[in-house]
Amino acid sequence: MRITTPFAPIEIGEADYFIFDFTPDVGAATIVSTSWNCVLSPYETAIDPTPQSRVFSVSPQTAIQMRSPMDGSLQTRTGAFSVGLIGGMPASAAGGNYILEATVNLSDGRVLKLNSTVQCKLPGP
Amino acid sequence: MTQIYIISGTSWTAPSDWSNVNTIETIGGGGGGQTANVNVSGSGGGGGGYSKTSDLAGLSGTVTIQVGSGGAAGATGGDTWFNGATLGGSSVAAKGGQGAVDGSGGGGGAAGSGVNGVHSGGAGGISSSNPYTGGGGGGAAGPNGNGGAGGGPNNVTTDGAGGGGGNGGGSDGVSPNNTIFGGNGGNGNGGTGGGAGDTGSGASDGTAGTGGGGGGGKYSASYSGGNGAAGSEFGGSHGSGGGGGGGGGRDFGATTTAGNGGVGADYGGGGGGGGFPENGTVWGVGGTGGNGVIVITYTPAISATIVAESRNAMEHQTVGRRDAFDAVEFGRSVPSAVRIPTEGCREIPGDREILVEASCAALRSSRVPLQWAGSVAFHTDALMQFEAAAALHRDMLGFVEFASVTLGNAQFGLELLNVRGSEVLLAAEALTNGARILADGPLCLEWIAPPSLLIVAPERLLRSPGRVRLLAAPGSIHPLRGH
Repeated sequence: MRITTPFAPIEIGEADYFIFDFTPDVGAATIVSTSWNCVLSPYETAIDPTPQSRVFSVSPQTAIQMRSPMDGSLQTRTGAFSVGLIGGMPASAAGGNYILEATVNLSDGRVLKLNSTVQCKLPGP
Repeated sequence: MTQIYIISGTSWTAPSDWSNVNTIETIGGGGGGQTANVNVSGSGGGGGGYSKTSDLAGLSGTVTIQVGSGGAAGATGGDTWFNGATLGGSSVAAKGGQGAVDGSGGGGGAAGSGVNGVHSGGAGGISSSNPYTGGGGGGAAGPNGNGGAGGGPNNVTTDGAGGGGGNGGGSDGVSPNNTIFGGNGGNGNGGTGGGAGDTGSGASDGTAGTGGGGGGGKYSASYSGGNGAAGSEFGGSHGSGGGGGGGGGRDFGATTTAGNGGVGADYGGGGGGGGFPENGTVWGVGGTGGNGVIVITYTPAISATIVAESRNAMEHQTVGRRDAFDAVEFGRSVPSAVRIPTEGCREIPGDREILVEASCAALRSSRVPLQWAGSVAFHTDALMQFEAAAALHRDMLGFVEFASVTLGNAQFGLELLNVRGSEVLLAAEALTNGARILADGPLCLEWIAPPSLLIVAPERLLRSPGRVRLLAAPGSIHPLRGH
């Protein structure tokens, strides 16, 4: 399922964690495994010959920490998360949009998918 | 091994590579054979003694020595010593052989009279008043044993001269008994080399390098005794010397002369005694004794200092020996309940938490090739934190390779942090769990392997709106339909 909100853009050469929160969907089940797909959006002029290689690693998580934008404190959130470490986009991909899709296999047998886009941009503001 | 032979002088300076792994051996000078006189033919001189010390410590600078000279005819050989102003005050010393006198061969340098004495020189052969031929000189003592005694005529008027004694570990010179021929010289420490006694054409010298004694001269002839031969126990032509043979005497065909005693060989051989003339007054001259020697053998010390041209100097120093396998080892065992910064930790017990830290700072414009090869084995229950950090200043070419093999159920946490400065081209390559990650080009990378609790950016978290899109799996039950 597409989430219409895109991820914050990623810079050329940057690597960061991207997270899909499956908590509202899993119910009493848990994530058994997860996988990610990374492709360039259709009709892109940007070039990335190996977009799937931008997925460095993936893992299911039951808790994550986020730094509060208000006071900078670390806050723990629990749930069912699929985390992908994404990065290393080439300079030729600047300006392009990638589609990131996470697939999770749940303990009750269900398979869920979420995807969204992330724009690749040159370093700097 | 370095070997030094000192055959003269009164001082010696330790070389720069001197070490405490050494042996110092001394042989005293040989005693001189007696010159015949109106009363008697000459007896042989005694051989020099042999002494030895090992691993003499604390030696440096210049030390006082004495190298005993071989005695002239009838004179006692000089004592030989090392590191002292006197024989008794030295570290090692050997007595010289005694000179011969009327009716008595010179005594060999006694081990017990030296310092760290080991073996005694052979006694000189005795000539009595009746025979006309001389006694052989005693052989010098050496590392293989006492010197052989010189032979002497057996108090029968017509006996030939005695052979010289072999060197240390060799045999005695032959004492002729009821024969006019000279006695053979004693063999050297190798069992050969004694010179043949005179049977009519002259006595033979000992064979060079064997330490054999010289052959004795014949009765009723005027041939000199054969010279003793140098030994080779120390290497090359260096060794304890054989004694000279006694000189022949009573040459009825000659008018004035008698045979001289053979010369004692270097080092430390005793001289043979001179023969008695039939009717002249030219007495056979006693052979001179061989000179003494100091033999120094040591394993050179090697020292090396390697200093990097930077403020953070890395210094490596080792003291080893040239011909020894020099194992340089940075190893130690970590005791229990101790946290230490370890530079080369050989063994890490597995039941505690140990921080291993290795650091190297390379200053600008310096070029530091650093290579570390080895293996670290982590035993069970060990919780190991490994951190490698490198700060590269400008104009540096840095290459860091880190490889690890994780076996079994081990959990391996890897953290790489790099802060990019200006004009820096960074190539980072990591191999982990079979996946290869490679990035080229200007890169500002912060990569943290997933710890137990991730810290994520809010703008990189997207939450499902809750509308579930179901993809049926084999055998799964639809949550709404129930089948």
